[in-house]
Amino acid sequence: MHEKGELQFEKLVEAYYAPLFRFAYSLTHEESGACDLVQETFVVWAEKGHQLQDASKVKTWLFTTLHRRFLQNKRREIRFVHVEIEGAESELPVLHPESVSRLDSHMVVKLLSQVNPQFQAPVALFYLEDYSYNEIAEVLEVPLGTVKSRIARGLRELRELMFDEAEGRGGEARV
Amino acid sequence: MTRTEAQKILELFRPSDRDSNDPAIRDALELARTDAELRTWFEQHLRTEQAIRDKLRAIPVPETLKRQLLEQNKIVRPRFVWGPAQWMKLAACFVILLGAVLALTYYGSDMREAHFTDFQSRMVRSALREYKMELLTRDIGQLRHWMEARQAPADFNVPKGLAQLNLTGGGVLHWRNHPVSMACFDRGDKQMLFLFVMEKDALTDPPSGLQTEKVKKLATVSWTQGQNTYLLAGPGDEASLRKYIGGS
Repeated sequence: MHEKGELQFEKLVEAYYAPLFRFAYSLTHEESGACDLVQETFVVWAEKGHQLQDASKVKTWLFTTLHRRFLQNKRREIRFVHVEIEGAESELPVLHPESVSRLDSHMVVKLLSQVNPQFQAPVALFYLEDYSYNEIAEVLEVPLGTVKSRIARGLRELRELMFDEAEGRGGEARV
Repeated sequence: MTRTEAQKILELFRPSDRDSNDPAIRDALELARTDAELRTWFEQHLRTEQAIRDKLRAIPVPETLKRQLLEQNKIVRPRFVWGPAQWMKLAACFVILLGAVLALTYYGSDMREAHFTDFQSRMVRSALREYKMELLTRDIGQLRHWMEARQAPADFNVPKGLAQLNLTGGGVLHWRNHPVSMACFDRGDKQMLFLFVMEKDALTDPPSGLQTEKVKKLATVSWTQGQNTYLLAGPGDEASLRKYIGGS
């Protein structure tokens, strides 16, 4: 029975450690913090995973747990982030795929880190996992409408940052 | 539906989208099929999106992570069925552990020296990741009283420079079974400064003078005064942190 449990754990790690790490990295923007988050997530799984009744929800459960841990660790910063700012929508600059191809993965994550913190997790899940909006809402535990709005605004911010980076204006102050 | 409206809808469209049975998305896709200008924009948009997706999915995963996770599971057991053999093993372990504890009590605890750098590193990690204020208050007297009730250092000095900032609250942490008082000060720019105080006797090598050092992402200043060792940590450089240590 114990060996069976260990085998299942290994399968779970095999299947999800990489996507979880990428999600964690897109939130923390640094490797050691992302590794810690993934480890903490699997520790919670080892302690509480058996309570999950629906096996099809394992992946969502892991992503939700990781995101919760991230928010707990970031509680200090959340104290100062209360307001979802409604800004005027600007014309979206044309971003060419070739411009994106010139950037490496770390630079894309670095640009993502400059996006409003509330939008980073939805945007990461939008790109990293082919989650539907409903699934992203479930992972992040926010209403569907909020998820759609945050993704739209986050994508817009990210593309603007990438456009600036591609145009060589990445270091300039943004208004 | 206008071209602009369709473009706005399609900005959020993914080819693999399971939300694409939405009538608005269907209409926008139909317009992109018939409107040449929209189609050109949409095709380029999809290529750009795919490029961003590819970049994020190419984030390298550390090779050691999987092994660490599997080893970690050997330490954190999810469930276990206890039989007579397991109870016998547990009893044997308990006897061995008891012997080890007694031996350590008699022969001293030098095996695991309490170095200041370990304390410093642990506190910085707390400030960066596990930070939790148990008491929110601007009243240092209330915070001291609260810490005293938890057997944590409460008679510490707050340097003048630091005392000019707003206290936000604090908490009590533990390092090798020694209570550590944590006081948090709002620097005024949405950043926090953390003052950790522990009895100096808990350390084998408490700092003798004023020490400044960058630890992980935080600048630190540390010193020993009276019975306590102090560690101030915060964002920025060491020099900017030192200005808060202006007398006590």
